[in-house]
Amino acid sequence: MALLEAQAVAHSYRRFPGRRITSLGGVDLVVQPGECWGLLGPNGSGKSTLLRIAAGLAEPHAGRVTVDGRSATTRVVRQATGYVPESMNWPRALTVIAVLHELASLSGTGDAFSRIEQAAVITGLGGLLDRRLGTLSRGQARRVVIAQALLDNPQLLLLDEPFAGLDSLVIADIEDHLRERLAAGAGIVLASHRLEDFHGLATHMLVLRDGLVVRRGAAMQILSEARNRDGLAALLGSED
Amino acid sequence: MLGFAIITAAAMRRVLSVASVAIAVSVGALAGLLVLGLPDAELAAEIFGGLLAVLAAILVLPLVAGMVTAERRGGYEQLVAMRPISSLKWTLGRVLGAGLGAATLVMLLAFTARLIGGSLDVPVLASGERMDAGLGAPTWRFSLQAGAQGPFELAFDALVTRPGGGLLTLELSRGNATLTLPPTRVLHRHTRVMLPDLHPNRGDLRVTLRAGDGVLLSRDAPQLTVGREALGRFGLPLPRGILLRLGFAALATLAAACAFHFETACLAGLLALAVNLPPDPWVWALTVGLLLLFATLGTALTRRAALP
Repeated sequence: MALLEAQAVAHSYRRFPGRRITSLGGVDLVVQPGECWGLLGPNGSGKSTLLRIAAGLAEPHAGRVTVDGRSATTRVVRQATGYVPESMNWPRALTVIAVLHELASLSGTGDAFSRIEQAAVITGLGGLLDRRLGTLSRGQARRVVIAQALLDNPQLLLLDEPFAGLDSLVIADIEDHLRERLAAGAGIVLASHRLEDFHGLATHMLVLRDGLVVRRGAAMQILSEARNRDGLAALLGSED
Repeated sequence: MLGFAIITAAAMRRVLSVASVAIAVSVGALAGLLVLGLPDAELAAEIFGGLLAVLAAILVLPLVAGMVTAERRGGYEQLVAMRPISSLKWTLGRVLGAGLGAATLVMLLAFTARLIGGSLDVPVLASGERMDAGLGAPTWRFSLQAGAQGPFELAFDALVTRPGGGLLTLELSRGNATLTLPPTRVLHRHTRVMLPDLHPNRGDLRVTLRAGDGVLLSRDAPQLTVGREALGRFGLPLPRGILLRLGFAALATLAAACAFHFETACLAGLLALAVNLPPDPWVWALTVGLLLLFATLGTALTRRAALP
């Protein structure tokens, strides 16, 4: 059974005064265990919306999304899904350990501290656990967002621009861990507008433009097509 | 365990932050200092309740509204929404946690205000007990405690019937000593006269007031100031009725914050403060139940579209 199955998922929103904008126009995506799908597309192409719908945080206006055969909003699915949102403003006064412990406790699975320790090692947060969130740099705060997604050892990871602002060493450590997860049968959907985020991790790619799928296929093939500027421009439909 | 985590997070990490505790103590101290500037105990007790209620509302309502709406605005709500907890459990945990936190803050505020305001120096009054048969000049007895030392201030009411006032003669007796004071001119309705201690004689003090032409003495017992003392915490009673209403307003604020913006939530709290619910417990139970239902529905709806 597919870990994530999105069938003809469409989404739109209303913008004042009554104009409706289509953010997704019927997207299909099937993620099998061990697959990492990269969502590539320019800003506003619908990558984040697709991830939010898969996470159960937005309702599709048409189509259907199931995670492991169940609706994305069920309790079991939530426990099995890790989500890294694109933007996040942490409560500044809380410490890293406090906020991670809070979220780990809400999941109610196993010893919270051992899970925090594991996530902290992967994301390089070991020395920052006692720091207040308001004192962290953008990259450090981003690592906390990734750590919270890894707390429950989810089967499905939905990562929205996860590596923005991170240094190369941390990215390498996290990618190593994500590859281990894939080998263990997890599924990943990784959205980014930067090609380098997909190298060595994505097995498949979905290229989105204006809410529509313009290309899908093996990651190696699509990444090789996009290796120079003209290839990337052709892929993303850039006019210049 | 799950509920405990939410309650602890809401109470200890959101409402009872270092900043909010510092603000509560500072505001309480300010209220206490305001009370210290008041002239007497009755006025202090009367003003304290209202002052405390206003300050508690200003402190608590934005705090509980901000607790929920800031989580949504910052995107934290979407991370919680991804966790396997029901909207009801989440709502009840937040309400209970915020309630406990807010109650602790209000107690801190009230404690600090009473601690400082309670040191207000107020006069110790002894009320006169009439000793004569009510025919001639009134004689009043004042019970004085062993350590009470004069001079004492006597306050009494009189009706002045002439423009220039009238004369009043006071005769004092304490133990074996008696003393007639020089006549005092009474010009106002409320009159105060200083009485000597009659040292070394101890015991009760008897005062006879002989009013001349133009002065009619009130039948009310005169008051003798026999010393001064600190008002004390219990001299500043807590406005329990208002605090109950504040709790109701905090719940309304929280319920509105689960679905709407910060400003709307604060407005809902202010409206709840203005609502006069009948004292029937069923009405209260129903209203609280409806607010909790509203909060749960709001949480369920926003978690389906939890956007930062």
